Amino acid sequence: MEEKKIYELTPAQDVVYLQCRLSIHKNVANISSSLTIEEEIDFELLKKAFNIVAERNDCLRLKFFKSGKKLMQTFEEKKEYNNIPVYEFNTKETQDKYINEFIKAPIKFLKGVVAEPVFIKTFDNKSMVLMKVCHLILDIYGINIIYKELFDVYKALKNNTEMPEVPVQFEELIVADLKKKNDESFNQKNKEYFTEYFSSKENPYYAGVHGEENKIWQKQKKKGRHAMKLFLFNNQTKGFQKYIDKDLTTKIMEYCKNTNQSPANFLFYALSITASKLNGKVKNMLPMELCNCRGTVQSKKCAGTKAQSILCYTTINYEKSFKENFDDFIKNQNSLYRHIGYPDLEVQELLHKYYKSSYLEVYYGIAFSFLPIVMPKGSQFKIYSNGYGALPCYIAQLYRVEDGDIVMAYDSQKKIIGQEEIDRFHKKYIEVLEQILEDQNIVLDNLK
Amino acid sequence: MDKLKTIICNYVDIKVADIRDDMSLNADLGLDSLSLTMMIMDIEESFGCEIPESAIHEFQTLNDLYSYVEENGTGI
Repeated sequence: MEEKKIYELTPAQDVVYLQCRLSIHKNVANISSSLTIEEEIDFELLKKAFNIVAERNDCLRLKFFKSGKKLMQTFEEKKEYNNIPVYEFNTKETQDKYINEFIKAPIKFLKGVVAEPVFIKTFDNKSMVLMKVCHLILDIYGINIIYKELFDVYKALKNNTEMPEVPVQFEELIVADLKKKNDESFNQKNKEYFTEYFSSKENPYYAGVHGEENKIWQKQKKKGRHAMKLFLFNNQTKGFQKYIDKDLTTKIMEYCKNTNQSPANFLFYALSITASKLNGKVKNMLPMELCNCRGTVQSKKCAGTKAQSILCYTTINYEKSFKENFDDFIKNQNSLYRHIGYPDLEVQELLHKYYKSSYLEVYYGIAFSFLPIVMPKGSQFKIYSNGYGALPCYIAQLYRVEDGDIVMAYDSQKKIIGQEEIDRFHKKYIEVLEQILEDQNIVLDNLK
Repeated sequence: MDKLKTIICNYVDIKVADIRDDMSLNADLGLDSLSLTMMIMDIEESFGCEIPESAIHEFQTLNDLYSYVEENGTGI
């Protein structure tokens, strides 16, 4: 009998596990989401479909255990998702109450629980799949793959048609990522790169979604600090959902297609301009990209967690045009992408060394990810806030390919950001997008 | 050129036989920044040459890219 292979964590998983160890909140490893569709679903058939999805996607069969101080992982040959609960709610209040309690409860990944699906007949007669997963197995991109898998398999069972193509297995990607992680020469090059990266650039400033008037940030600045306080305990978050409408989204996608740029980079830079403008036209910032890290065709077909944070030194030169600024930004991004996989802790160490900042401070006013989401048209896909977060404001921009718009899920720390701040930031962001799409040669100082 | 096309197929969902030498990296192959960067790194390793950022923007077609690695690489 073949011995089960045991693996250490990949760099992407290391970051998640680090958060688990540092955070006082036990649900920090949760990602909770739901997909709601109009049609009536045969939930017994859907349970069967979920188990088939678990057979087809090895990430749903991951098992974690401690070996000394290290967290290790192995794939289980078979994992049955028995007893998937099915609920029916008559009122929005009872449904929301259940969902809120569900998403708060930590997922017990050290006790063999890596995914918890729940099926719901909603108060307004729709069908919902609610799912809580451990971030060690899936990221948001991966969750999208699993939902699509689930409904494709369900349809194949229902209509007695052929199953869709089996996705790429996570084990393949883990092997490749660990090869890189343990490559000494690759790591040495990365260390040299990041040393030069930080030491050659002047100390950036934190630029928060809340803007420069925030009292806590003002206090930090008066002390001569460039970075914001890290809230270790008082870091409750709240989720806000905003949209970029279909018309504007179409213009964004057309612009990116015509200029051969990725929407992720375009939106990231527009977000940075917005943050800069709201913070007294800060010139140099360090926002964070939560990068999908799926460059190959194979990795794009795999649900397993790959997302990693990349700190992007971003310069907004108000004397230059948007196009000139963006071209410089892209060069910087492309050079950073060459160094994905270098441990986040090592990058942070260099950052704090060269900018003489503390581990109790954060530079990243915004953390951002962009994901195309392929879901049935008219379906509602939602990511839920865990209620706690180390990031001042995480913005997941979900491009709903079928509906043609972009959902912006803001998850921000309540201590510093509320509805008013989100509304103001989002309004400014839309204004910036409209102006730079209208005229890419607009000098940034002329932006309203 | 076949070796180059095989590498490209790791990053673009296309068959080797369907890749034309006059295709452009962006417009025809639709590579995003991350995929393009990772592909270039792969090419650098396979052909034993460095491809600077400034050079990448000069490539209009795959032929241009292939000419560059042929001229500068050690592993054709």
